Amino acid sequence: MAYAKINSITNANMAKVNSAAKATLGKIGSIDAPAASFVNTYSLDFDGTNDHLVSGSSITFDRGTIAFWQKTHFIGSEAEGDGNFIPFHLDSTFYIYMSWNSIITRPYVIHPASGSFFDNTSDIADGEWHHIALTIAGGGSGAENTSIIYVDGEVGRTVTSTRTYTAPSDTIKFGGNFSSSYYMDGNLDELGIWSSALSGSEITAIYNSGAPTDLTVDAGNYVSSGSLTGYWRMGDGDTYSTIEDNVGSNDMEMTNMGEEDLVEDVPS
Amino acid sequence: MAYENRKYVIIDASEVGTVDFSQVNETSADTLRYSLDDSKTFVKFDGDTPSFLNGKTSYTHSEIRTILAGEDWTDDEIPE
Repeated sequence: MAYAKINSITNANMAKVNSAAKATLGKIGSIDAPAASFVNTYSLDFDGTNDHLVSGSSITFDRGTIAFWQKTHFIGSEAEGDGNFIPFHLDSTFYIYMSWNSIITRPYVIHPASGSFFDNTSDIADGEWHHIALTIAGGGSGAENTSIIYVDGEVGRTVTSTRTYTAPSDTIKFGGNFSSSYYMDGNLDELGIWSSALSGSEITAIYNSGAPTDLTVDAGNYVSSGSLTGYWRMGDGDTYSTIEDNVGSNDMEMTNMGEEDLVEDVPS
Repeated sequence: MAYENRKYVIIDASEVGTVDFSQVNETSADTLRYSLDDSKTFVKFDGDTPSFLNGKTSYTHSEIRTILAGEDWTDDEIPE
């Protein structure tokens, strides 16, 4: 419990430091001051039994981008069921699923614009951090759309199709709660949602060779901070049990989780 | 994470009313995970066993993961 208290105090202090830095650094006289430095210290630890986050309000995701970092606690499929989990779930028509095929655990996307498709090129269950991104671009329902799943900045699979559909809309479930199963045994960090489809070079930029970047700031090839609609840091600047939306107001609640699940384990 | 201090206890669904949610990690009765036939659920805690769970079998993280992967708790059907 002492560790939990240290986490809580550290988180609270970090939030104050971040806030003070932002207030101080905006402008010094007429000289542009550098932005507050980006610090990523915490991720959320999910135990694979019933831990999850749920957002306070619904979102609609027709086209755009979703990206996050994840790390499994297991390698391969050490126990039956480990390799099948759903880190991101909106409704029954849209979720990002990690599926074990007896050889690898690979991303599997279900969205009405694309139907379901696998990325069979990547094994994400190796105990290491991986960056997962999904982009959907095109005309929406009834028009041609292109959906791409990226792993660690590389294109895993591209699907182009024309379908008539209703845009998925619901609260965000992160880490589990799709059903009685499919909870994640691992860590999640730095979830971003954009209203636009990021380009491949932008995905590579935010992957940044494995080190998360500040998604609220354009840098290098990344020029879409203006279309970022939700940004959850998973512990940095957060106070248990609320995971703050750093762009909008759609905070998430740590559900069935303790302060101990805010851990100092991040991609770097 | 090793979860070396975390314990899990399976209880009957009929016992949910006896759970003191201030002493376990579960948020509320509404967020519990139930077995597929809704007859059982579980709670977890770190450290000492809450008094209302005395006498019940506790499991480690590894043990509960194996139990939850079984057919009583996990639907084998792959989402379409």
